[in-house]
Amino acid sequence: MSMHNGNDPKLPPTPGIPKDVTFPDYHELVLGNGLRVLVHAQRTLPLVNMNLVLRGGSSHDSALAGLASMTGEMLIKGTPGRSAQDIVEAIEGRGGSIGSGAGWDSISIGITHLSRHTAHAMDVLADVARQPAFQEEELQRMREQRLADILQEKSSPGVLAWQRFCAALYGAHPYGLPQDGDEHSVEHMTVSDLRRVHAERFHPGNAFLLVVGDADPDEVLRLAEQQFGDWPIRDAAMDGETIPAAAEERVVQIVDRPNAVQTSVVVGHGGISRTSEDYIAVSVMNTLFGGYFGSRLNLNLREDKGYTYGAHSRFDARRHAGPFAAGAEVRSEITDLAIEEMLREMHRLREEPVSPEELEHVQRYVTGSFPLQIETPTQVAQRIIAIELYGLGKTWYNRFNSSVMALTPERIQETAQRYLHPDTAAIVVSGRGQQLRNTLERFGAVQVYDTDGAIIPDVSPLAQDL
Amino acid sequence: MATIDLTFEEFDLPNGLHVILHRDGSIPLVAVNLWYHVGSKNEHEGESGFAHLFEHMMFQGSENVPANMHFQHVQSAGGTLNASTSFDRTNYYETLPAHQLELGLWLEADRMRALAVTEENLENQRDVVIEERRSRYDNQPYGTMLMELFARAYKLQPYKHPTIGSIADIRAATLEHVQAFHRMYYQPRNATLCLAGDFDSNEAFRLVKKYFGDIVGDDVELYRPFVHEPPQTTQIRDYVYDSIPLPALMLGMHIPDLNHRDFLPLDVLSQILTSGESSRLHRSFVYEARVAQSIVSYAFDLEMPGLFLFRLIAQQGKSPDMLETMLWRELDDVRRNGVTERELEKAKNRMESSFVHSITSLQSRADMLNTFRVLSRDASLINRQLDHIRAVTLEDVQRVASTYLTENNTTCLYYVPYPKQQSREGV
Repeated sequence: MSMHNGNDPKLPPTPGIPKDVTFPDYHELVLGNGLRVLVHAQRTLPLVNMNLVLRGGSSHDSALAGLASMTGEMLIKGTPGRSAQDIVEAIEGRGGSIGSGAGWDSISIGITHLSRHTAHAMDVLADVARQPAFQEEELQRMREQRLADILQEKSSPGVLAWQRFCAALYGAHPYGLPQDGDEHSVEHMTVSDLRRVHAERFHPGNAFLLVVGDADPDEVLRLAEQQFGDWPIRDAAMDGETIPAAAEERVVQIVDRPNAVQTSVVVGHGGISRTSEDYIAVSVMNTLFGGYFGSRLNLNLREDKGYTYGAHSRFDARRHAGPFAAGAEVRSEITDLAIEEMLREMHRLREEPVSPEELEHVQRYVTGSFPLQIETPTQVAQRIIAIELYGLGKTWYNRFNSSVMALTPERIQETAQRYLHPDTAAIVVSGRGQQLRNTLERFGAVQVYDTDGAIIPDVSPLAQDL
Repeated sequence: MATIDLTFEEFDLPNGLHVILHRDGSIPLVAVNLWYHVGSKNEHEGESGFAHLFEHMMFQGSENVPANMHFQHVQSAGGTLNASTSFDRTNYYETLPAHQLELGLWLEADRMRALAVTEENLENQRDVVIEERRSRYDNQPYGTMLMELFARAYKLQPYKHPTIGSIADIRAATLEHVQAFHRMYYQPRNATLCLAGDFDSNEAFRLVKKYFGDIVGDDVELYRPFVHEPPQTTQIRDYVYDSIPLPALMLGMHIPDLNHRDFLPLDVLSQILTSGESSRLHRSFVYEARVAQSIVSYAFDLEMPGLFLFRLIAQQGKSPDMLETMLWRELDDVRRNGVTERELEKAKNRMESSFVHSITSLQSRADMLNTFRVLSRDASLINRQLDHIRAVTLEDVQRVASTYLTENNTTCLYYVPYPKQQSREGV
């Protein structure tokens, strides 16, 4: 072997010199009516992605679960001048794609298209955003689709465990409800509900338009002016949003799937808001705990024990504190052992400081992979949307790496003590209810549900005998 | 129309390793993408799942990289990594900050040169793979449809067994077999390395030679099955019970391999039929008649003759046989009358943008270069693919529909929910 660098072939080669990477700058323009227009030009491939984002998403759905997402989806189902089929045809016919929907904190419409069709795409975007028809016939079609989707989800082990987990934590708050609604809410949603949401949220002061990819900022501004310049200013108040409060006591719940060949496990509790000052410390702590392949959870449950194909955890940071959840799909027979390991790992992070080496490893991963997070226009778009939606400030991502590197083992431990609560964590699984009921009893009183959410009483004579 | 004009250099090392270098300095990243030309079709009877289990073993230690250190090295360098196994090939890839290119090469070369795995690692990964099978297939609604279809559609071809393998075969794998598999398939002349990103080509060339140049492969004949599946002459039909709320229909028709002249027209046909909400069948089944909750079709792009498949999930209260009747009526219309100019143009536009989209990131571009090089023997096809799509005619589409989408060439599978009491008691 040649030895140009004088490297020992048994050791990893010495890296070269890293290049500086900064979060790409973007243009911020404002129309006369206050609509903000953001443009990030990245002109390597002839594609453009445009998004119109309106503040206020599913977290406002207190009265009717799934209303924001239904309003979002229905936007592209017809306008006075275009039928639902005309709209998809207009975009898909030219090789693009169009979608709309809601997140927890926004409703948005997105179009990806070849850059030679930007003017056309903007025309369609303005049409669907400004004058959706919300016809009863189209709504009925969507109701049927959703009801079938809801039925389907009842056979999906991951979805069943997740929805029960959210309900256990947040109860009737929208954070506890399915984002796409349930049978009852979907049946009862009306055209006037959708119109109300549209009237509240769709006006220039509550929106921003983001265009990324092969686009010229001056041209985008000109087109935006043409399509949105006369969008009337409105002073509409949104439906109140209540602050979610996650339950703080141990519950153990099983969704019974009698034919399951595995158990889907979710263990967790309330988490953190995207706007919190602790956000970076929490996300680095979570990366180390269960956020990447080399995390403690995955090394323990997968690489050491072979219980699962993968174990992971996540803080779902929204405008308000969303859930923290650790999860895995595990071999049914060792469900209790897997849960025990998850809780043990949570305790360990609270009780013992991480070693400087382990922390450094994670810091290098998180900071080093930053360029990978902003490689494509779509990735950049997602981050610009977060900056805008949560008021993070344009320099947030450029301070990110130094904030990560400043974390110490002490800070990680304090963060774990504040944000990980193994003793009160909810334990929710979907799997074979009768088998699991007994083994999970040691974590607390067990409640078993069927896939429709009804409680199944413990009638098995075996249950008492064992 | 967009033109794709990627520049790259290619060379072979004396040991047979083929190398593709594609430079793009727009962001300081480098994609390392290494293909081994082996997949589940190289497995013999009773060995199903072995190529994939072996892929897991490639992370379990090599001469200078202890078990689990592969991903630790990559991740602490700020990189991401993964691997995947399909019918025809296995790929390994890392995306790294540009200044860590050498690390990626060192890691891949080490495990190509000398795997060092133990019985204990094998036991552990066997468990992991069995859980993978359950998570992705057995415990997912409709998760086994594809494997059940392939198992019935083929009599002889190794595509008849799934890449994930059967649990029994996974349990039967031995360490000796792992080592023999490495000796046969994981050698330079069966591998293609593509680097894409921010590097100096001369320096990359030097580093590739430095790390891979001295790897010596075994002089054994590679097992490359080429089985002629007898033409199907009568329809195959079956049904399967699953834990699902809505019944489903799946059809598979035999089609030629991905390099055959009829393949792209079939791909275009699939786009016309089901890609996007404005596609012909989405519109008729989901939007207008509202009999299906979803419909997808796909022309399987395989090295040996593949399948064209349809999967429809019924709307509430609708049955697979009424979906099937309606589908045959629609296909009959395509066979008799072809499709419209407008539909063809739209499909081409969509394929153009999804192709452009699929080469947006460095890693997917590197993988695409390897796809064309390994499966079609010519990496430069990446720059001509859009022309080839553009060249498909209305006659081509109608001809392939009439030739392949026929009743006798079809395997038809109904997926139906378990009867009520059975699902309560469990099985």
